[in-house]
Amino acid sequence: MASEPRRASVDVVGDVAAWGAHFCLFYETKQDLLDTLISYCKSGLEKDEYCLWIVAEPLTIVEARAALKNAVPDLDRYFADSRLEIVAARDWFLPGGAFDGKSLTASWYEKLASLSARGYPGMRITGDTTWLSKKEWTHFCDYEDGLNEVIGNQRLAVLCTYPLAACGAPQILDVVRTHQFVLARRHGNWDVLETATLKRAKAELKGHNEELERRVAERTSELMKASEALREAQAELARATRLTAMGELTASIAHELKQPLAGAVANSDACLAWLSSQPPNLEEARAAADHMIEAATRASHIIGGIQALFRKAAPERTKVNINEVIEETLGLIRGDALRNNVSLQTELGSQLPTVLGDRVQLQQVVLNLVMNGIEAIRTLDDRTRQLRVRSARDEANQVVVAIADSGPGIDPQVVGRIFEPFYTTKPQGTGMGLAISRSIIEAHGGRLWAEPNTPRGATFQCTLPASIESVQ
Amino acid sequence: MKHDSPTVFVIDDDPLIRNGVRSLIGSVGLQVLTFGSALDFLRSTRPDAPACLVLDVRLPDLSGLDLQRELRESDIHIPIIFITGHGDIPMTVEAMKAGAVEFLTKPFRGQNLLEAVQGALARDRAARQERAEIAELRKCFDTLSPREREVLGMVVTGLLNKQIAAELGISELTVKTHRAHIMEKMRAGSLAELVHISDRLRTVPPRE
Repeated sequence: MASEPRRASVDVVGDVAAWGAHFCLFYETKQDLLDTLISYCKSGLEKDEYCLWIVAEPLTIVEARAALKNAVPDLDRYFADSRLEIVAARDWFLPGGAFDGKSLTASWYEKLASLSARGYPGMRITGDTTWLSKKEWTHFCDYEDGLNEVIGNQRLAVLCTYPLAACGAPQILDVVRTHQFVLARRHGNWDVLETATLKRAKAELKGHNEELERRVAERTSELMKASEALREAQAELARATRLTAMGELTASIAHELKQPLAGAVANSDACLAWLSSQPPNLEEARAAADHMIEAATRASHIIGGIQALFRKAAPERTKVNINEVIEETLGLIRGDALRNNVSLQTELGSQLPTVLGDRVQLQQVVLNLVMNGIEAIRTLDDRTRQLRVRSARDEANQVVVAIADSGPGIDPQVVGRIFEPFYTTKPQGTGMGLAISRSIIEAHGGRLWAEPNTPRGATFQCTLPASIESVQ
Repeated sequence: MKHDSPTVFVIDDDPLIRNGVRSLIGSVGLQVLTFGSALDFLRSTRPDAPACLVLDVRLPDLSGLDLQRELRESDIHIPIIFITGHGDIPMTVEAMKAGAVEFLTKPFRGQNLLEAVQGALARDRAARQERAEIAELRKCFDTLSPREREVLGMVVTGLLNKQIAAELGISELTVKTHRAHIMEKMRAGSLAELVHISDRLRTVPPRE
């Protein structure tokens, strides 16, 4: 901002430092003063700015006007527009005959307000101080200091001129203190002196800027680090979760497989023992061999179940009528139900939307749930062995399938675990059926859950979203 | 002492294991009784014969470790061989501390199980014999009169007849008569034997 006035020429003043500048000129000769002020005013007028020239000795209004007219030919037009005013310092600064800083400051506010209302792109003011008497000096300095506030952030520049010869060192110091920078014409050369305050302010500003930049950079790098740490933590968490789940699953799988393996080994050893007894007991040996086969078959079922649970292949997606799936499945096990004296009731909703899914997988789920239900009730003899299969459409236009049995129900303590792989309440169960059923239903975008049935038994229910065509 | 054929109890909720173990143990001529749960076992009436228990750690309802505790608290002495699918160290330590004789991890070899079973049966046989002998001695002790018990207590601490007579305020001859009765009733052939019998009785708290 101060770089422009540094240009060692009168144009410096013409270009004006920057808006909000309150600066001063120490001059030696009348010519220096004129040169400076004409350049200052001319430059402002050319830019359609407003100019106020407060003239004092050694200049007169007439001289000022004549000199400016030389530089600006159509000066009268500016006067007519009230764009330019040239007034006497005594009229301006001492309207009541004495210097009154407060009312002067107030009149500046007033003047600036009315000028601002006229919408000039900028305002230039210059005033001389030769009228100032020594006794008013202190008051004037206070006024000058206060002027900085008046100028504030307005599009306003104020140039105060002081005859160098009339200023003693204390005055010069006061002037320098109250202005942002100082122009001095000495020995034919221009000097531009920044005041300590401005320097300090600029230095502070620079410092603040640097500090701000440093802090922004610091904060940015902190954020980067934090976000990197967060990302790492998330990755770590995901890995740990995966490992834990895998570890638990591995332990479950290991335990589940050890069971039939132990059965196979025990039966093989028994089989060998019966064969080598004297005489060999073939009947026992055969029974043990049968059990070995059973054990091996179970192990292979467990592995099949694990494969089904983790099968990555996307299921087939066709439009499926869930009632058909239920009917087909029940057809497969009606005989089984009959043998076990189970009364199978169906309550299939009419005009159900179709679901998009894998028919075979959905059959598998229904079969699993129905088989579970039959198993839950087939040992009962003290109450009706009832299994009810229901299908319906819910408020969300989803298809609901519910399989309700009249069995002993699910122990509330284990109801949260029955869908876990390998969790089983049946001595011969693999604990895979419900886990697989749930994973199938979830892969179809649905839900599978269990709830107690009234007055007794359990209900397994699943929802399946309707296929899009059937929604429309 | 009557000779009873030993019995092996097997508790496992998995019929495959039950069948395998039953067949295996049956092949060496031992009697086997299998149960699907600890509660079934507790509800059963068990023959009064040497026995051992092949017990799965993980069982529905009452776990193998729970059953072990239950048996101990009910003062039922039967050696236990644990079988488990995942024998972690803390579980093994707990079971062994509570008196398990063996801890086998599935799948186990038949030979190892049979050896463990034979070892457990031998141990139970010895324990049963010891318990029977103590019971016999206790019976003898119960036939002693209160005065004879008093005298017995003094004799085994090494007091002379004279000292006992003075202590009890009776004649030395009366003490001698008591001693003779004590030796006869306790079936002791010598003072040393009497002291030994008294020691054995002291190690076991008297029955109700």
